[in-house]
Amino acid sequence: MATTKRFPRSSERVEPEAFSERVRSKLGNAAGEVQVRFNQVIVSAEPGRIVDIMSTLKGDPELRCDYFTFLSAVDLQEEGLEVIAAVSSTRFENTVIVKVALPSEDPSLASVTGVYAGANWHERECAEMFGITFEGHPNLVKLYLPEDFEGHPLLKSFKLASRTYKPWPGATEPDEAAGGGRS
Amino acid sequence: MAKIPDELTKARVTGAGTLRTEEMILNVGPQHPATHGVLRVIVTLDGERIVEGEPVIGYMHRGHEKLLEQRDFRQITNLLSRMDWLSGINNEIPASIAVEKLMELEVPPRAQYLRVILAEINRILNHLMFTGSFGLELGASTPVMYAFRERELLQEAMEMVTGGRMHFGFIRPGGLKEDVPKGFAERVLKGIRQLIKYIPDYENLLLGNEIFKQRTVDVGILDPELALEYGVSGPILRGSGVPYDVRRTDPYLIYDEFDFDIPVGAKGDAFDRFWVLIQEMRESARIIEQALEGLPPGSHLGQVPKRLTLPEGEIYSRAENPLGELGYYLISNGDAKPYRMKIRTPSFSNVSVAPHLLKGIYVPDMIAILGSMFFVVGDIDR
Repeated sequence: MATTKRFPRSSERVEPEAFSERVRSKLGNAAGEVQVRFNQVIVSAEPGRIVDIMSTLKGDPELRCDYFTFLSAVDLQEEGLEVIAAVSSTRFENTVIVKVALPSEDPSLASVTGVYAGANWHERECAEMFGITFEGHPNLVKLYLPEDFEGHPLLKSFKLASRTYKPWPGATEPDEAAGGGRS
Repeated sequence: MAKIPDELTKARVTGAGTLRTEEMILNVGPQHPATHGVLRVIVTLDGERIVEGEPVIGYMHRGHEKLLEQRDFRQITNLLSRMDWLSGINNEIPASIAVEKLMELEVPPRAQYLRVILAEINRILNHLMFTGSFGLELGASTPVMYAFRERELLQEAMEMVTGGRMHFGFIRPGGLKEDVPKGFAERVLKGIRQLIKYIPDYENLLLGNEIFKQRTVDVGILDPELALEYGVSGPILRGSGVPYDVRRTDPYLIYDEFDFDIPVGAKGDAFDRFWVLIQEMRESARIIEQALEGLPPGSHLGQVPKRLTLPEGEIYSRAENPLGELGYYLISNGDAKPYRMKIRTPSFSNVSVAPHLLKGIYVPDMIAILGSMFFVVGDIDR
């Protein structure tokens, strides 16, 4: 029978600093810099080690990042692209964000769908929006966009057509707003 | 009764054994995407059994993430409100929290309390909508009438505060747009007291209904490990017995000051998911009562500069939306606009697990399962 229970925070909860130490020691040289920011563990990684890292995060009994939070990317222009993947441990109540730098030319990364099946749609979205090829993805077709869509909308080089055609209709700076209005 | 000639029955028996069957592909939807809960699913059928069901999304894709890069931090509030149109306030909160944390803005206690109250009212509004609609999907047209009766009182309270019924645009970095008007507390209390009074009615009408049980018990069982691997959250995940709730695991606002329980299911079937949804309204009502009681006087908005320019930095800010974990990954390069804002919506991850649930079931169960996944198409597509 289903129940309503108090469910306090997990008794096995680990402070983010301590968890980042675990992450550092378990990942070893697979990971680059490991730091804590806003109570979340940030790991930078080489593209070639992404699957190893995700498998360790999920499978290691002291990490157990069982919850796949999201996977996306950002276009850093001259510095190339960066893929951001976040996973959480429901037992230890911590979130780990893995960041992988990729070149802007022909970016490709091994798919993590073999580790987290839930990465499937996230990678499909990321592929069409940034032009990243996820190798080993079971079905890397477009998710949101039409089949024949050209370009990758979330790249900074992809201009928002409506704004190019017609500038923002309202005031863009707070001082320009007519009459002041209510804050 | 007339005797059926032998050759006819014989033909039927032999026919069934040797008849060559082939799979049929059936397209379900889409209807107009703004209609409640319509999703396009391509199902491969073998007779009445579904071999494979694959949701096709994107009909409601408005490119929120691209649009956000064109707007400053005050303007994004109104855009985010439109993402999941049933939970406007809840969508706005984590975005403001992200800005506040990066800018180290102080939010006055009154604003914190009011945010909790408005967020929980919005959660009840959302849950009442799904209480009614799930009944409708299974052919019970009465519960939706009751649900909307209770919903209207709280909807009026929201309208009294924000002036809107769906897209509130009320949360500002640093606090709220305005303070609540006189008589707000009484109105909300009236609404939640009526809700608490009538929740047993919903339980009797649906949860205690034999037909409803036959349609939902043991239907669409979602394994907790699979759910976690897909990032399923909210009532769907808790229906599978995992007590994961951002309000508890990563408390934001002042949720750690309130006393509330987390309902979880035992089996993870459609019935449990719906049961969790109903119980969560009780818990939200408890939080609202506590928050109204402790509501401190003071300002509704902290010291906020006229121009919001964020320092360089990155943050993943999340909240427990009515449908699950909503998160914004905000990257600021020191400009007045977000450099990148990734939106992690609950419905996207929740619906992505649907192909597993649709495998091997009968066609009528598909409606019960998709109905119990409680999604908003705008929230999937963004």
